[in-house]
Amino acid sequence: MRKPSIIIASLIGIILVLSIAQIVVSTRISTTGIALGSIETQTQALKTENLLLNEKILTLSSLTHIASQAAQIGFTTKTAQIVLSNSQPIAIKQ
Amino acid sequence: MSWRYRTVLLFLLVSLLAITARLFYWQVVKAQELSDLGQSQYGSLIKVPATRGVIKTNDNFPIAANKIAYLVFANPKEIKNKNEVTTLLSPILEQDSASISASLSLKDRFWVPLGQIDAQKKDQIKTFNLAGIGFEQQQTRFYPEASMAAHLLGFVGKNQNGDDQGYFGIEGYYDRLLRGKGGYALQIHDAFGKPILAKASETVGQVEGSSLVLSVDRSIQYIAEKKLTDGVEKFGARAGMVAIMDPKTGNILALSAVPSFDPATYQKYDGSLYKNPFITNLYEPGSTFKPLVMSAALDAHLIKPDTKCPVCAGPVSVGGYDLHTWNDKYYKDTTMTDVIIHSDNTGMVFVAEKLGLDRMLEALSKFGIGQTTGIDLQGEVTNQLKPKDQWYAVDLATTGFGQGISVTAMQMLDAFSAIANEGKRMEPHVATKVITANGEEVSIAPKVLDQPISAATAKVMTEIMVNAVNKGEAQFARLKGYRIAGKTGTASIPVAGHYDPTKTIASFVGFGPADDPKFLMLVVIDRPTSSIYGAETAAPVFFDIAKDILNYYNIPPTE
Repeated sequence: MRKPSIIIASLIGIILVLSIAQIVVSTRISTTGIALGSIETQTQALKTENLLLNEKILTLSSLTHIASQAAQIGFTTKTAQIVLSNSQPIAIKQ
Repeated sequence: MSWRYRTVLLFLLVSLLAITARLFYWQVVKAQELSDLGQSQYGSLIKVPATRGVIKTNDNFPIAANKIAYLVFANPKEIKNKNEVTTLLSPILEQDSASISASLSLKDRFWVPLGQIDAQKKDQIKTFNLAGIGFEQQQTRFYPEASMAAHLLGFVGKNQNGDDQGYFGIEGYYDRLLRGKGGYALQIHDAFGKPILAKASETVGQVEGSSLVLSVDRSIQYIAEKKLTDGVEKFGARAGMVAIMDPKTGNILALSAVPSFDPATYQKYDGSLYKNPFITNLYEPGSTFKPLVMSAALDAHLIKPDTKCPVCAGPVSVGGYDLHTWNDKYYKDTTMTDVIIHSDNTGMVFVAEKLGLDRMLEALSKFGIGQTTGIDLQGEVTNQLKPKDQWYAVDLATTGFGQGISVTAMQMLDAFSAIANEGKRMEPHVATKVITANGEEVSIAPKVLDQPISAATAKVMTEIMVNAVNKGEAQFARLKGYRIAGKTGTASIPVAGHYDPTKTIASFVGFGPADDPKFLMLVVIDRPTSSIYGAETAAPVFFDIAKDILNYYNIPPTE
């Protein structure tokens, strides 16, 4: 009749160990929700910042903006090629 | 076993079965309905729009992108000083005080939208620390180059359901691709049914919009737009438009029209400006049409460049009408090359009559006149050609010099792609690549629509058009050192059954370098006032743009 008592004791032991494990794990992860929430908020903030910076980059690298800046600092348009025709003879032999 | 025991057992079994059946009904058959009912008590499904795809120019610059915007909303019950809030928000939201004040007076609402603002304005409002004012982050369309290529891009507005929808141009044509597919998220409510904005579940069923890469060259677009605007102003014209195409592929390098609009603030402009006149306005092409008719006759071996015109000594009488040249100058026995150089209407009457109605209709059809070009822009129109039995002798004669027939500028540009591209007419295209949300790239290949003339005819016609540039009315504007093929056009505008000689549509079509064309361009100036002629208005604009394109492509002079 000792066998059932060993089984019962083992089962109670397992239940106790698992309960303690659950308490430990629950205690540990109970605060990770806050951490996860903060990471999520941070990710969202970085995404927003990224989009805002992207908007700034696109505005600054637009030709419209570059052209207005160039005009402000006095850049002039590229001169067209000068075409040199064949030189005229100095004298034509009759 | 006594009967009483059996009866109780049977009763219990029946009860168990009944409970099992009822549980099955609620938990399996009605499960979804109950779940939805429960869900509706703490939240509701909200539509989450997909991020709209980006439109890029051929240098991968996003010419239409997305940016962060904030929807300003108010909870009128929480607002303590309505007048103060109205005074502070009115200038920032660019709305009159009365409409803001009216929104804030809706005390039976939890949530009243006030307007959309950018991040800077949001920060400005936040500094006021106003109770009852909140922000919801959204995305809105952003055009970094402002109004550049507005007619080509179109804009994003709202449809009848309040969702974003592309209208006109690329935004309209590729709307379904760019828009993607919206998803759903569960929005949690508080006990009073007020939405808790931060508490929404993950979005499901969302497919982000695809992006597009265009053939549009940002630098050429900028050049064309600036020169066209300057030209329209200089010549006192009502409007103007230009498109530049790579004739070998049909890819559109630039397309611009003035007056224009800003797609980001399209609501501030008159609705008539939204349409792209290059594909929606019909006009009589005038003399720019002559090379098309001439090349059809050359291709049919009915004439040669040195064929002499036997009817060009004076006005030609056709069907009771006397047809004159534009300047009433006549050249006896003029050659076909000179007919194009002098833009001689009587010479073109001779060519059209030589061609005959059947061949003329076949040629027009092969050049794409009377058909839409198939360009990937929303709103293209066409004017179908008259049935054969409705053509009179004078119609055939005037079609020879581009009168009595209406076309869109895109049809003209596309028809000339055949002359510039060894006789092959290409399908005009703006988008060259689609990039799906998962990065898959699908290229859009160039497409030959037809071959109206042979390569040999195209070469001959090119030579004639080079002569027209070097010796014609627009020779003062030509680029020295370069072989450019081109033709001027001055078409009178039909008003109440007659042509108004003071109001014209001046145009110039051409391509260069003539021996290996890198661009094909059509400039149209609507009702110029400083001069009515294409040679004195559209041609200078054409060559001004051509000069910068040749510089941009680093093409050296050849002559």
